[in-house]
Amino acid sequence: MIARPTLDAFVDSVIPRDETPGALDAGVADAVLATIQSQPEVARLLETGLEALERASRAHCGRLFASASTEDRQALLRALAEGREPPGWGPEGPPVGPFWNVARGLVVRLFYGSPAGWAEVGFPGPSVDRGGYRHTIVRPNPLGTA
Amino acid sequence: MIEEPPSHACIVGAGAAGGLIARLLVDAGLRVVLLEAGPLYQDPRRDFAEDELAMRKTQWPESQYTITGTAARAGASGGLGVGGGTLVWTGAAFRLLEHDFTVLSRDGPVAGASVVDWSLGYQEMAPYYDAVEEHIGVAGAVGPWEPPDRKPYPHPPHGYHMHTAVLEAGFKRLGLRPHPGPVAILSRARPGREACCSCGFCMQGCRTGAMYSTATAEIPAALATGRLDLRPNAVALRVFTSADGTSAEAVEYVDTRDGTLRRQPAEVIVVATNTLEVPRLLLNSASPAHPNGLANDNDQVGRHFMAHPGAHCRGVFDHDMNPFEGFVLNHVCCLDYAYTRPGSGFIRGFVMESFTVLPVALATSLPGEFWGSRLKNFMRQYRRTAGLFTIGEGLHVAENRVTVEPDRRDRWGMPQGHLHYNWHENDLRLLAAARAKSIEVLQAAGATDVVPQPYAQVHMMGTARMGRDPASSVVDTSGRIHEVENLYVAGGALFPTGAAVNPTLTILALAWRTAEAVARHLRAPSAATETGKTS
Repeated sequence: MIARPTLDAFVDSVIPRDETPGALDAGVADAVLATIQSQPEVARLLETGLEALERASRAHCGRLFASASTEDRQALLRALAEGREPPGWGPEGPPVGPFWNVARGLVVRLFYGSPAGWAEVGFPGPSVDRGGYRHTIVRPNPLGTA
Repeated sequence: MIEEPPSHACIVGAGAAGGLIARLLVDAGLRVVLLEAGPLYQDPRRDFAEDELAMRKTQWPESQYTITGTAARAGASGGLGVGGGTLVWTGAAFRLLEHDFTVLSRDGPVAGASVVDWSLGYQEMAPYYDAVEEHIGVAGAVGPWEPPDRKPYPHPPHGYHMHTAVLEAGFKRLGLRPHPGPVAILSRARPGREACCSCGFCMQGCRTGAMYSTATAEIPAALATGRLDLRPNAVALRVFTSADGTSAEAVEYVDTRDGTLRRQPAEVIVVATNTLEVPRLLLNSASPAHPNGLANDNDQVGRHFMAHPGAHCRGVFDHDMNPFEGFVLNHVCCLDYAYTRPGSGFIRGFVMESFTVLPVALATSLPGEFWGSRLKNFMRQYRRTAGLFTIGEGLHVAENRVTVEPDRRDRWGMPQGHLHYNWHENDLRLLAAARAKSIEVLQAAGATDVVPQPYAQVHMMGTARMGRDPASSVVDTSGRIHEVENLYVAGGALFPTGAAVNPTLTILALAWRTAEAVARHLRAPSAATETGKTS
């Protein structure tokens, strides 16, 4: 079972809310759970990794990850991103590298592939049914002079 | 097990090679059964979406493989579904350069690598390149790296969007020779295929048919002949041979919708799955006549795996590049470094191709240290990014190989695969030079920030190496397995060396040769496969 508060806090830390919505606001935690239903190996990696993150959070600041300060959460995630096991991670935790790649990758993909992520980066969305972007070509004949 | 009625040919895998061979054989009057592990998408416009998440279903999942080695990073670049890899490719349609066929003669042996010359050369391949380019509708212009007297491209090159014009200027500032990249993406409409509308969603299944896929350009026409029996959702489990092992008799496959086992006999069998699945099927087809796996008496099946080492880079500019406009890869390219340069510290070379990007592709290409506000702030520059896709020639290493793991089985009971892939020292030197040059080009183009992506690999090749010597190769120059008179392999698995350019045009050209050989083998009533007579 994935602890929802830990997952929510992880999602919120990977893509936080600032002046614009973050991944938690965009429903990415729900999307993660939906995605891993058909991927048992990914689900297992996520579950054991988030458990290890909880242990590391207790060791680091004596708090649940979900109630840790932004600074404490960032210190823990920085360790993962650098491939270091934070103290308390424990031998039952998964290898840090694959956990970070998979867990971060899921959040990133599900956020920037959603309409909220598109709005965030200014991606205008599908275009085929409105004719595409042929009209934005600046050099119709690339072998001619500019 | 249900016994199906026999066919002239049974092809396993409806990707680039399998789809083209099926088309050419039915056009030659032969009856073909085409098995495809994935589903059939009937109507690209309706069944494909401009949606990076929804279309992940067309990517072949390599996750069932155990992957080990220093070069082990995901990115198999295979497709799943009728169309195979051509559902998820980019359309980049390069010929190999003349020198790419003679690496051993030109560069000499390399310690730790199994470098060889191809057993056929550019001159023998040229008519097949001509035929394939015409058949699939390549847009381009003869480049400064190509023989000037080669046949012109059938369609004119595409125009440049802002991101491409900027990169072109960067190349020129460094004294390099940028050129419109050849792509199997229509610049003029053809029957059943629209001209490219520049939507940017090539790798999610082209909705308009502008990008060549066997799903849109071959299968409907092949079905119309009445001679193609297309069977999607059919996973091949093993190939059966005669008792003495010299002749292939049938393919056993499972219908994944209901689990029914079926046996398809045929006069000729073509294994046209992807480069990892070719050796897995052959090794899983071991029998008393082939105890080490089918065609593996010489222990060559699965060996000499290689990919293209990639050192892609993204640049951030001070004005909008709109990287969602255009097709995804190769509007402009530069092959000036696609050659061995004495004194560089490595042999062979790399190519640089313009690389547009969709939001998920950009976010997931960034190194792992991009998260939190750093990731969010970088991604806010999305519209101002332009990138280079930089890949080089990875060297074959005999120990880089696919094997099977009998103690780990798939849901149909067949042993799963194991890919072991170490970088060769030459790969790492080449990657460093390729990354440095790509950064230089982006900076010359005006990028204010350049982010190199983690080293990657694309384009799986080389697990059923083609050659004349049965002791050191798996198939002959027609793709026929040395040890079995009517069993062929098609696809990237055949490549003896991999060159630096994208492989699909060469996969198609080799597949055309194989189709001719199969038609001759079956004494086809029509010679429609003969090069130049079909288009």
